[in-house]
Amino acid sequence: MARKIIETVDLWKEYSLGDQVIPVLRGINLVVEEGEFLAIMGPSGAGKSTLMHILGCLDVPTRGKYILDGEDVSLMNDTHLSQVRNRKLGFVFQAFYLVPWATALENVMLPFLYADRSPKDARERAVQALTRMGMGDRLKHKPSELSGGQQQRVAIARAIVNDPSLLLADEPTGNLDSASSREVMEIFQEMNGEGRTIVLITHDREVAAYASRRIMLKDGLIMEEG
Amino acid sequence: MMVALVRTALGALLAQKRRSLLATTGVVIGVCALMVMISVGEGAKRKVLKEFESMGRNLVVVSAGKVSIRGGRMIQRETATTLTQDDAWAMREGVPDVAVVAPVYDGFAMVERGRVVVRTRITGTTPRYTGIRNFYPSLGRFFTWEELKGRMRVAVLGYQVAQRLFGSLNPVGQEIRVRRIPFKVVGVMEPKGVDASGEDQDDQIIIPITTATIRVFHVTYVKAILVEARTEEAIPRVAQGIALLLRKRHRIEGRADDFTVSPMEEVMKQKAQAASIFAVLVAAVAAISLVVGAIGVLAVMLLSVRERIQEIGIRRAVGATGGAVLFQFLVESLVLSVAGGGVGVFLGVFFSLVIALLARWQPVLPFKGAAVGVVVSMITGILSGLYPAYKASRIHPIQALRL
Ligand SMILES: Nc1ncnc2c1ncn2[C@@H]1O[C@H](COP(=O)(O)OP(=O)(O)OP(=O)(O)O)[C@@H](O)[C@H]1O
Ligand SMILES: [Mg+2]
Repeated sequence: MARKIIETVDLWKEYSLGDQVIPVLRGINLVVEEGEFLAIMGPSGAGKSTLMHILGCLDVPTRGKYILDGEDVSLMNDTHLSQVRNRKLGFVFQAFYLVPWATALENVMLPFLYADRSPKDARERAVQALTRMGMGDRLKHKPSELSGGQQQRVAIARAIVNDPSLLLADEPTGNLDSASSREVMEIFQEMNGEGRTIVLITHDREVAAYASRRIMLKDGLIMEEG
Repeated sequence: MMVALVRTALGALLAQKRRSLLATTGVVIGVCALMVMISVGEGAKRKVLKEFESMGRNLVVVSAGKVSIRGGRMIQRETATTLTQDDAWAMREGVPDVAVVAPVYDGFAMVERGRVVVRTRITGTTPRYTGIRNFYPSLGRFFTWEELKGRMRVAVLGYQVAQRLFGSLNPVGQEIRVRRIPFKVVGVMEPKGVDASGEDQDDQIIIPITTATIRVFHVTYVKAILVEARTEEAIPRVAQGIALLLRKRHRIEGRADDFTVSPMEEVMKQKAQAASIFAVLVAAVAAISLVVGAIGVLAVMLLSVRERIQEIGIRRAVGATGGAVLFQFLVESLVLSVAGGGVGVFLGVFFSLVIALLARWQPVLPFKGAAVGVVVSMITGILSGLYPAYKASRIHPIQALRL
């Protein structure tokens, strides 16, 4: 049996607005195994991003249990969660989220800045990751000097540069034209082919088709699989 | 890690060059003013001390007419012809705690040696002058009481006058003419420079007072009487005693004094005060601009944190802890103010040297000031970076990425 990268048990997330408690996630039980490529779909406001933030250790559940790559992260404090993000997770966002004044290379090297022990070959690894994304000739470019598709490829290079156990992507093609979308999804598929575990959020059925498994999130619950 | 962080900070600051420059201007001015203050204070103190030491101890100057003291300089307001050598002798006899007196008459005259002509101050006084002023011949000798009593034509040259008249020759035993009257040079005074009275002591010729009043200037009065009190504590009493005595001798009743008594201690104190007032002024400028600088850095850092919430979110997402974010912004603020401090130190050294040159102080490289400047700019950077950095570290990653 394959290793479980994600295992959640009855995960809840509630927001309180005034004296009102709004449940966004209402008991998520989800298992993702190593090497899976999971697409999470669902209508706007269903709680997809909320779930991804918790899976990505950017946020904590109100209650429930979350075991990431064998580590129970539901009880960790902020500093520990930061370290877990640095070691085990890579993020790709809809809006790319690159540091605007830094070059592509500096952006990709960012995770090493916060590593306990930054590897000696940090620079080479960053160059390698960018080269893999077809950005080897744009190392010194600022984000504003790159197209949307190119920026997203820099962001993907940053997400994989420290070889994370889990790659999380929240609508990575949301801001891209169809040609760039296809390119980016091919990159994801290729990386999944190399055994990387990926969880991807999307509205788009075509995009979801690249995944090996799809789930639907609705009203804070996983409604259907297939 | 540290190097990478400083590089990151530099990158962020250079991305906003104009704003960084603006933010750091206050620190530049503050540190510069601070250094000028320190070196001015230091230089003025040294100068006053040197003058004080060279002036002679427990000196009270009695001037004819009205003299006022402004910023440590004696300025002649009115002249009088009523102060005499006899007043000097009467003081020595009649005022307790007077140790020594030396009447002085001085005036300008043309002095010749062969074809060389110079204009200089002729100071007529007594052999007591050397002790009172702590000012001695370095070559030859001073004139004697016998020469004074005999109204002899003997002269002791100031250091600079000797050079102008004789060059590298030894003037002792040579002849000069003062207002066409031949004098024999018996000595050359040691170099002393400008002293507390504001007069260049090296640019004068000292002769017996009798010779000066009777032969050279044809007057019966003196311009001043130098009085040395026995102790420092006695100075106020001596000054008062002199005033009482002179009022009686000059029959002053119901009108203004025709003399002025100036304890030089007072003059020096005023001078030191004038210097310290300037230092206080510069200190105020330094303090104000440092506060402005700190606020500038604070404002720019706050703005920067607000504008870079997304960047903070990105950094948090890739693994930066709250502490790492705090540290980053602190380093940024530190780099900002230390850069300003560095420029300030540079300008401060420049202005300190210029001021030393203009004030004719010994130019001292203000190392102490430079060290203080760097430390102060570091403290400014840390203090004004603390709050923005704390705010940045408390931004929740989700809050930053939901924008
Ligand atoms: N901080 C918050 N306070 C209160 N409610 C919140 C907060 N954050 C999110 N929500 C609510 O949680 C719900 C789920 O939001 P989420 O962003 O996870 O949806 P989503 O599925 O990602 O939607 P979309 O497809 O539009 O991105 C929404 O109704 C949102 O209003
Ligand atoms: Mg969303």
